[in-house]
Formats: sequence, structure tokens, C-alpha cells
Amino acid sequence: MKVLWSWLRELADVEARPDDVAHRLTFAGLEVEEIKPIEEPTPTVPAAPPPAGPDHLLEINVTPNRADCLSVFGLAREVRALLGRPPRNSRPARIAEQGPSLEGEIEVSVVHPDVCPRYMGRLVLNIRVGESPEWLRYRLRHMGLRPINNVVDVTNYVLLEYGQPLHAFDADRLAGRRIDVRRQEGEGHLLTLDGQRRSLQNGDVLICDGEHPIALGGIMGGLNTEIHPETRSVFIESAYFDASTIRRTSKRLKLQTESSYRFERGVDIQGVPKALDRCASLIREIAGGEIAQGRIDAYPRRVSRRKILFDPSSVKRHTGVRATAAECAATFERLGFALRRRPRGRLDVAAPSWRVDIEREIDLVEEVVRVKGFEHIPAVLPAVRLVPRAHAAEPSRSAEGLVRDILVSAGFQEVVSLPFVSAQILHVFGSGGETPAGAVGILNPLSEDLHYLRPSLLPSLLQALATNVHHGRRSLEIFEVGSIHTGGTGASTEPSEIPMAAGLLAAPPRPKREAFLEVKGFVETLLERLNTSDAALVAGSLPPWYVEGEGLVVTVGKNPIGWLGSVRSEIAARYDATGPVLAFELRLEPLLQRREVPRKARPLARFPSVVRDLSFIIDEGTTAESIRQGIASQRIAWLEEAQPFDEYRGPQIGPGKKGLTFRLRFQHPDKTLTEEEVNGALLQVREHLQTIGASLREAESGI
Amino acid sequence: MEERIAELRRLAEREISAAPSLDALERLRIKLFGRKGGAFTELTKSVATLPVEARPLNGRLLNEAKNSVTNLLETRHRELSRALATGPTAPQIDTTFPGRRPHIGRRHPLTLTMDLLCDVFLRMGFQVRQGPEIETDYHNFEALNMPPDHPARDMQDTFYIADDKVLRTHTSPVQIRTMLAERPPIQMIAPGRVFRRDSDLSHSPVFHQVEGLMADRGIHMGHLKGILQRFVEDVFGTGLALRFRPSFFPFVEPGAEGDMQCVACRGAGCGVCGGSGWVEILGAGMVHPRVFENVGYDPKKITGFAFGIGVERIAMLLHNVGNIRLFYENDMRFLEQF
Ligand SMILES: [Zn+2]
Repeated sequence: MKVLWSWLRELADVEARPDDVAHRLTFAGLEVEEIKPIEEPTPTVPAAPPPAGPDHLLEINVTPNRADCLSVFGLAREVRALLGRPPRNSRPARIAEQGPSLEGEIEVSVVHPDVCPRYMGRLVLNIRVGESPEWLRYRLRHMGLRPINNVVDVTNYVLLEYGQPLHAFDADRLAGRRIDVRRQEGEGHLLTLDGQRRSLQNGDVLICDGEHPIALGGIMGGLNTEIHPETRSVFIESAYFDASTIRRTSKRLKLQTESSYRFERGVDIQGVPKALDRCASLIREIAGGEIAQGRIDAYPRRVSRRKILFDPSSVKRHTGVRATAAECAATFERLGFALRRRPRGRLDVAAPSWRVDIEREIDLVEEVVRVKGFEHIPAVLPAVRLVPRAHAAEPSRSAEGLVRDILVSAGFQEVVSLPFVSAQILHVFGSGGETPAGAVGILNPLSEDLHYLRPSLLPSLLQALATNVHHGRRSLEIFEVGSIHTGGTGASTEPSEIPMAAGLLAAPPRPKREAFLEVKGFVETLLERLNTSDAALVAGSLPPWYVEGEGLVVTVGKNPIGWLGSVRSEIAARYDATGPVLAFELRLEPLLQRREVPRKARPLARFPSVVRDLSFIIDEGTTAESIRQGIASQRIAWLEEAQPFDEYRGPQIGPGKKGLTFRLRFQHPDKTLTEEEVNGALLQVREHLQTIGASLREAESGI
Repeated sequence: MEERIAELRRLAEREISAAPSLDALERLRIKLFGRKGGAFTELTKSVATLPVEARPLNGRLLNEAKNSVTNLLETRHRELSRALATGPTAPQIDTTFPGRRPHIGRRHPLTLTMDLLCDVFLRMGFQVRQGPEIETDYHNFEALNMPPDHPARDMQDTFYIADDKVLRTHTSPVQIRTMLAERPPIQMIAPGRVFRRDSDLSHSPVFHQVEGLMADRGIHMGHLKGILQRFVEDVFGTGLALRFRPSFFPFVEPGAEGDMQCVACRGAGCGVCGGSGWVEILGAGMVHPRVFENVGYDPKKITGFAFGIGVERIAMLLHNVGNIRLFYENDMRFLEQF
């Protein structure tokens, strides 16, 4: 909230510099964010002390609990208390009533007091609408309100002064000379002062005359009873509306006004008459006319001050600050709280009507410490009585760290992305023609680009690739650990949140096959380091963003937990990739739920092993893995390991065929194998290979 | 025969000692031991042709000569190699040349900072708890003393997934989930990603928080200050003060904002702190009794504190990063600096 220093100083009636006051306010919870000097001269205000020095505008961050400080008077009251001055006695000013009795002129009925617990009004007759005096316009202008005419300006002025929203109706335009305050039933419309046609719904608070709605209660008046240059008599409304009701309507209509803002936070129900009389008097002063005798005050259920039992020892119990009973009592009195002393230093404290935030003893504790200063809170370490207990969350966090460390040591750079995608991106990642089913949408996205929660980490990684390609980087190895969201499209399905780790490898100079094997190797290493012994990489169905036949499904105990493979080139190209892009995506939970099992060491071989390479030609369609399994199934003596390590094609091999080299390792547990023994075993391997159609290329070489 | 062996040995020893270069030495080695025509090779063959009774003696002499000559060859090889490496014309390693660095990856500064913050609190006995990013209105707001239609909800612009489902605006709902599941004493932190419907130069719609909660008998706001002062020292080093300013968060009372002395100017005032010498780094306070009531704790017996620290804020101060958006752009020129 913006507040003029000259006005604040006038109402606080203290001698102080603006920056001292600002500092005191800031350290009592009313943060002064800015003090701006005002260039123009400060006008003299009638019946106020002459301006002292240049004026300033203070920008104060009033937190939602401090509705009482949404006015110059409220802030002045706070300033006095913080500077140790007693509250100013605010006796109601005498009001000069001259005109006829209000009773015979306008009838008011509050039909639904639950939405309007207090409704007051006065009538001012024979006024002359015109421009406000300069001092008034100066104050409105700097505090962010546009001067309109003297009547409207005075209602706004008193709103700024006391924090009580007011509204002036052209009394001659009130059909039936009556006002009803009620809840809207059914649907309706009202043309508000800003010229907008507002739709009304069940539960909105309406002010109506004998025929029509004339104001959206607590939010904005209607155009039909607006003050205009010919207006001669005004009905001034000063009311207290239910906070939740006002907030609901204001939110729905996306219409927040100075008035609704204050009603939502809670105005001072006992301050309603004071603001009304102040407004009527000021209108009479500025626009002339006579104030009709008497005022409306529909206030069926009086709100009384809450009494709170306060024990001064609670200050120490909650904050560690020592405060004596006398010190607490003095603070409360300065803040305008009513006290009754009880035995053993305890107090009955009644918060003033403007302090709607004070509900419990802890709120009083805060007042004491806030006014004393938070610097009095000691910094001490608690004695910990906690016996840490095992909890599932912690191993998973450390395992997440392990995943990060493994990927970093494998050369991947970690990235962190915004977890949103557009409908268009979902479309690209669909298999084409599919709607973004399965993605979790945001009802109120910041923009279309940020409409959905990502159902995969891959769009984020590709976006990072695009960013870096744009900066001239062609090859990239990146990973991200983060959540994805799926499901939740129908009312019945709950969106699920899945922690994932995903990586991307873009390496244009490397052939696709090399890049694929590299990514596969990363995943294998990751699974091995995480102790997932029952993990496997198998052929299976892949998400549509991978190339068919160029990917693998990652399983743990037969359940799929992720994928790896080549990203479809038309998708990669959208992100400006210049070569093959490989990726992997893994669900973390199945990997991280596994307990860390200490690895058991195997005895080392006591005798040297013998290695032989075997090259042969085989049909293109035969996989290395099927050959490896075939050899393994022969249970050849002393054959410890058979691994493919080279693959080649070319004219000398012929079409539809490929050359493979396997490396075979033989090991005897108790002795060094002889040449004859190895050759015998090798012969068995060759025989097996011949049965599956392999033609042996050349003599094996030994190492 | 014995003389031929002795003669070859003498000759070989003289020539080896005189060999001027590694090349000459290699030629000499071939001349002596080459498979074809090497002097010792030939001599070995001759020994095989001797009468049986003469073979043992000559065989032994020949082996002694071979061993001695071989040793000498190796010694001379070492000498020549050393001379080559240190001589005036020897090729030198230019040690000023940049080292060949292995290709390694790096952690993102945000996750590094998050780990750093967690480690600091774990050392102080806090335990990690986690919760979902899509939260119910109840856990994110209502249980935290922000009923529907409460103006405090304006402090946190919210993304909605459904009427009663939000993207959590803070990690505070983890407090609620933890207190509903466990009994005091509780000493937990909740690190995680949070969402606000807010985006400009200094705000990102997504950021990270570490929320903390300690609830037990006898906990007061001085303990909160003590723990957070220790946190500042652990993360930024000693000598930077922490101060509390009264503030408002619906789920704590009293509520405070915490400022620490500016890392850049250590309190003197600079551009980082806007000249004030202080930077705001956290929000905190004593758990509101209504929050305890909402989770079934008796606020007459149990007190507690809660705090929330912005991870981006800490990372920006630690690493001198001026713009929060750099964390999410994933520009390698930025990330490779960490
Ligand atoms: Zn600074």
C-alpha cells in the first residue's frame, strides 16, 4: 500500500523522520519497500499543520493479516504504538445535521444480515457536484486513485483515511426511495460503474433499490445510480460485508477494487459509523448541502471484542524472549488492547475491533515480541531428543544421488528443466494424429507452451539440445533426474507422478550403431552399479518417439521400467539435431527401492586363462546374442565366457551376410590348460557354429 | 672351442661398450644373437656338434658368456637411452602444453545446492521426507491454516490441475503429511520442486525449496534462530549475521523473514543486496496452533518451528548468478562452469 508521508505524519502526530519511521515499521512486520521523494510542493490541508519539508511516498507491504493497516489512520496508529506513544483518543466528531429526518426520506432493509452484518447510511441534500480541492486531489493521486468529482473523491478519501470502503448513490435515482441489501438468487446482470456488464450468481451481495440492483455490494457501484454533475442529493453507504462472500464474487468476476480488497481482509466493524460521519461532514464541507438528521444503522447482532487469557510466561515458552508482565501489559495498552488483570500476572486481553487477526494467546505473544523487536530472540541450539528412525524416503534420496554420480562419472552433464510442454509437443511425441491423452493438463497455464506437465523427460532433454545447437554445440551428453506426470485425463483416474532418470546422447560424428552401443553401455553400467541383478534389456514395444527396431526395453524382474533407443529423426530434427540422437528413460522407483546388498568377493583364478578369437560369416538376421546363448547352451568344458566383439560387412562377405568375431575365454579351476585341451574345446564350438549355418572365415588367432 | 667362446665374449664386450648409438647397439645385437648368422647362435650350433664328453663344459661356458653379454647389452641400452633423453639435442616434453582432460560430466548447480542444504540439516539431525508435486487443496492450503476464500492464498499464485488439486506452491504440505503419519519428536526437512503461477525476470514458475520442521515439547523460536544461524555458517562460512524480521505466513505464528548479511559485501552495501547489506533468504516461524490441531497434536504440549529456504536464492548467492532463468535454460556455457 502506498501512503503519503505528509498525511501519515499529520494523523500520527509525531515528530520523526520518514526513514526512521520506515525502519521501525519494517522491523515490526510492516515492511517499507521504498521511500520515494515527491517532487511537487505539498499543498496545505485545511485544519492541519502546515507541511514540514518535502513530501515522500512510502510503499508498504501490508501482509494479509494486517487489514487494520490498509489506511493512513491505521498506519498512524501503528506508528504511535511503535514509537511508544499512547493511542490517540478518537472521539467521534460532532456532525452538523440540518436537513429533514432521514427516516422519512429513504427506507433501508437488510434482508440477509449474514452477508452484510452491518449497514449504515446517511443522506446529504442540496449538494453541488464539482471538482475537489487541490489538497484532496493531491492525496488521492499519489495514493493511486484518480480524482473524479468531489463526492466520489470524498468517499475515496475517507476510504484511504480510515480503511472503510464507502459508496455514494444518487439518492434521487433510487426507485421507490428504498434500499434492500440481499443475497442474489438465481442469475442476473448489473452494469457496474466501469461500464462492464457483470453477471450475477447465487450468493453475490447485492444492493437494490425498489426495482433494480444498484451495486455489487462491497465491490463496485452500479452505473444507474452513479453521481453525475446534476446530482443534488447523495445517499452514503458505510457497511460491513462478509469477507468470504466478497472474495468469492470478486475472484469469480476477476474484479478486485480498493473496496473488495479491504472487505476480503476484514474492516473494523466498529469503525463503520465513524467513517460514515466523516464522509458526510467532508461532503458538506466540500460540496455544500445539508446532512439529513439521523442515520441508518442496521446492525442486528453486535460483534463483541474477543477476550483472550494471556500468561506472560508464554512469551518465553514460544520465543525464548524474557518479557515481564508489566512490559506485556504496556505493549498491549499502547496497541489499544483492553486489559483486565488476573492473579499471578495473568491478563484478560480484549483485542480492539480493528485487530481482526488477534484470535489466540500466540497472537498476543507475537505482538509483544514484534514490538519489542525480533533481535531479542536468542539464538540457541535445541537439545535433540530425536532417535532417528529408518524411513523409506532416505535411502531413495541417496540412491538418487548415486544415479546422478554414476551418470556424471560416465560423462553426462546434468540439466534441470521446466517440467511443462505444449499440446503441440505432445502431438509431436504421439505416434501422429493422436490427441494429448494421458498428459496432465493445467487448468490455468501461464501460456500455451506451458499447458501440460511433461509425460516424458525427453522433450526437456531435446529442448536443451536445441538450446545448445543454437549456440554452436553439436554433440551433447546430458541427463535429468525428475518427475513426470501421466494419467488424470478422466475424472476417475488419478494423475500419477513418476520419478525418472533420462539421458540423451547426440554425437553427429559417431555412427548410429556406435552411439547406440554407447548408450546401451551406460544403461548396463547404471543397472550394474545399482545392484539390479535381475535387470535385462530386451526387445519389446517402445514409445512412439523411438525408431522401431532400434531400441530396447529395460526390465527389472520382467517388469518394464524404461527404454533406450534411437529417437525418430523427424522428432530430433525439430530440435535442430544434426545427427543421430539416442536416449534412455528409466523409472527410478524400481531401481531405488532395492536395498544396498554388500557385494561378495569371488576367489581369483589361480591359473592363467586362454583366449581364442573365432571369426565366421552368418546370416544378417542372426543376432550376436542368439549365437552367444547357443554357444553357452553347449556347456563346453572350461569355456568361461564367449562375447561378440566385432562385426563387419562388405563385398568380400556378400549380401545378406555379416562377419562376426567372438572372443572365447577358457579357464580351468585347478591347472593350466594344455594346447590340446583348448583345441578340443574349440572344436566343439566350431561344430556348433556350423550346425547353425556359420561358415568359419579363417584360422583362429591366439593370445 | 673354449678359446673361441672366450674370444667372442671379449670382442662382444669391447664393441658393446663402444657402441655409439642405440641403432649401432641394435645392429650389434643382431650380429651376436640374430636367428640367422648371429655369432652366438652359430657357436651354439657348433657346441651341439662336439663330442658328448666336451659338451657340458663348453655349454656352461657359452651360457655364462651369453648371460654376461646380454647383461652388458641391456646396461649399454640404458646408458644410451638416458643420454638420448637428457642430451642437448634430445626431444623435450613441453610441460606447458595443456593436459589432455578426460571427458567428465558435471552436476547442475541447483541439485548441488539442494544436496548441500540437505547435508547441512542432516548433520544437525534432520531427516528427509518427501511428498507429491500434485497436492490436494487440503494439504497445500487448508491444513496449513489457509481455508478457502482466505486472502493469504493471494500470496501464492497457484496452478490448478482440478478444483481440489494443485501443483504444490511450497513443500510445506510435506509437514502435514509427516505429522499425520508420525508422532513427535519430529525433525524433518522436505526438499523439492514447487510451482507458482508467476513468471518474470526475477521469478520462475518452478523453483525449489527446502522446508524444515521441528516439533517437540519445549521448542521455541530461539531454537529456530540457532538452527538457522548454524545453517548460514555451514553454507556461507562464519561471520555473516542472520536477522529476523516479523512477517506473516498463515501456518506460523509468530512469523518471520530471515535476512543474512550480504555475501558479496559482507554488510557494507552493494549491488547484490541493493545497498542494504542484507539479503532475504528464508521464511520461518513457530508452527501455528491451528496447524497442530489439524494434524491431531495438542498445541498446549507440543510446540515447533518451521522454515522454508529458496534453493535458487542460495545458489545465486553462492555462485554469483544474477538471473534465476539461467538455471533452467540448460546452456552448456553456463552449466560447464560448475
Ligand atoms: Zn551487498
